[in-house]
Amino acid sequence: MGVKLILAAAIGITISATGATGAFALTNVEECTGTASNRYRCTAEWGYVGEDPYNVDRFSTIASDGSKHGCTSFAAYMVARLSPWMPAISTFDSAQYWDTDADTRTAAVLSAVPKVGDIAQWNADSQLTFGHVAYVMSVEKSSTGRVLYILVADDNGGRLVTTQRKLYPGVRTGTISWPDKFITFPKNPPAPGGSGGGGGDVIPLITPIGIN
Amino acid sequence: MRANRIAISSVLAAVGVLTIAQCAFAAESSPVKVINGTKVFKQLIPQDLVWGSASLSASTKAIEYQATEINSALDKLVAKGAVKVVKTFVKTSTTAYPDWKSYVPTFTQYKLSGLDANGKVVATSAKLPSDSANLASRLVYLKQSECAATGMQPSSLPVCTISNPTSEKYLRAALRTSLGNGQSEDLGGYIYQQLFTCLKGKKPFTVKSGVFDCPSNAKIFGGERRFKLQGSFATRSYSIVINSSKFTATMTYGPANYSKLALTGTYDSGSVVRFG
Repeated sequence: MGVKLILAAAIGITISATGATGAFALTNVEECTGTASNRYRCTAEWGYVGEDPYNVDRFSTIASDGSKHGCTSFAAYMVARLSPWMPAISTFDSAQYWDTDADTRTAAVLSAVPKVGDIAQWNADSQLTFGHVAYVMSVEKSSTGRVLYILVADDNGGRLVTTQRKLYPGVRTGTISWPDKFITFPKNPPAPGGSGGGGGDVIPLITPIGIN
Repeated sequence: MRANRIAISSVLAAVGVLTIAQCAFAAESSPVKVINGTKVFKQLIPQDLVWGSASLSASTKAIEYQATEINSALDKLVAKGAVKVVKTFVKTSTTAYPDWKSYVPTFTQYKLSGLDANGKVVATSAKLPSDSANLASRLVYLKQSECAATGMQPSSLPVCTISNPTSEKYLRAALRTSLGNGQSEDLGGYIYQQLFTCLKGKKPFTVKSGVFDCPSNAKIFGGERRFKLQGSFATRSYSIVINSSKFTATMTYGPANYSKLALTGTYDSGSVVRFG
């Protein structure tokens, strides 16, 4: 029985590997792209307009129209909406270090498997000079539980627009490749009688600093 | 049982070969070769940059902010009845700035404790500098490990004093912070992905007047389909050579150019000086 399971698993991996090759026609696509006249179009549903309660936007890029843009600022904004207040977020470094910072300075959990509400994280390489982070909006799975694709939303300091992108595991063509890690921050408890998630709008505007 | 093990090993070995082949295929299959693509801030920011008046003014404001922050912490210790200030360093991660020694004398944050005449701690400050993600903030610090602040009873302790770095030194560390935090993020990766996607799929493209145009990219990249084959980002230039018949390209980055950025410093808030 155990042998059968191992064989099935091995064959499954083989099929999966073949499937990845077969799926090469898939391409990671931008489903939404902000415009010069509406740069925050793709994050409007959460009310993000370039600033976050953790003041991570102090490192954002400023466009000629004065709007601020930074992937970490939007990620911090979403964490502030969904999670209890974590002062350490204010001290996080650039996107490439968000996994390490989250792991060592907060109660966040790192994973290779995406969940809705996670922060997707990319390490730095020759294409992503400073790494990248984005908010996982949805995770589409097959009937067997295999992740088919994810939809992420982000802000972009280089391009100065927000986007939403559909990303497929293992696919390299298109807007950006699959994230390196997924960061799950602790979530606010569901509001009594509410549907849960997405709450947490009452947050301090500045990190408390002063005499203990 | 032994036969089973061998069978399993064979299958796993086959899977291993497939996996390795897959990885090898992935690694070798890019139609776009990148030269000098490593992170720009791996190179040291020069010490002889000419900073514009705007940058110099911005650094003055940032340094003033930090001095105020330390003075405020000292005032609170005085208000609590402290007669002595003791500086204690706290563990600080250097992950984001492995090269900090090239810019600041110490990276570690510290706390200030106020002691009364009996040596009892009456108050302790928050970590200083407060903005640990800002490398430049390390240049403004309380100099003494033990001192008496203005307003405290006269004693044999030295008077607490705050370091006052030169604007040039401060701006150099601020520029390093800016680069590390992506303020000067370039679009090289975005252009690479457009190039890779078009050439990998062997999609029709044109090159006219130095502009690459791949119409099929528009539906993938939010309408974007064209970019210049030569250009400059905030910190470096790039040039692309296309081999149309082979559907391949070589993307070469120029050396980092900080001179232009050095003139663009502006004060934002706290201890942050922006560039770009």
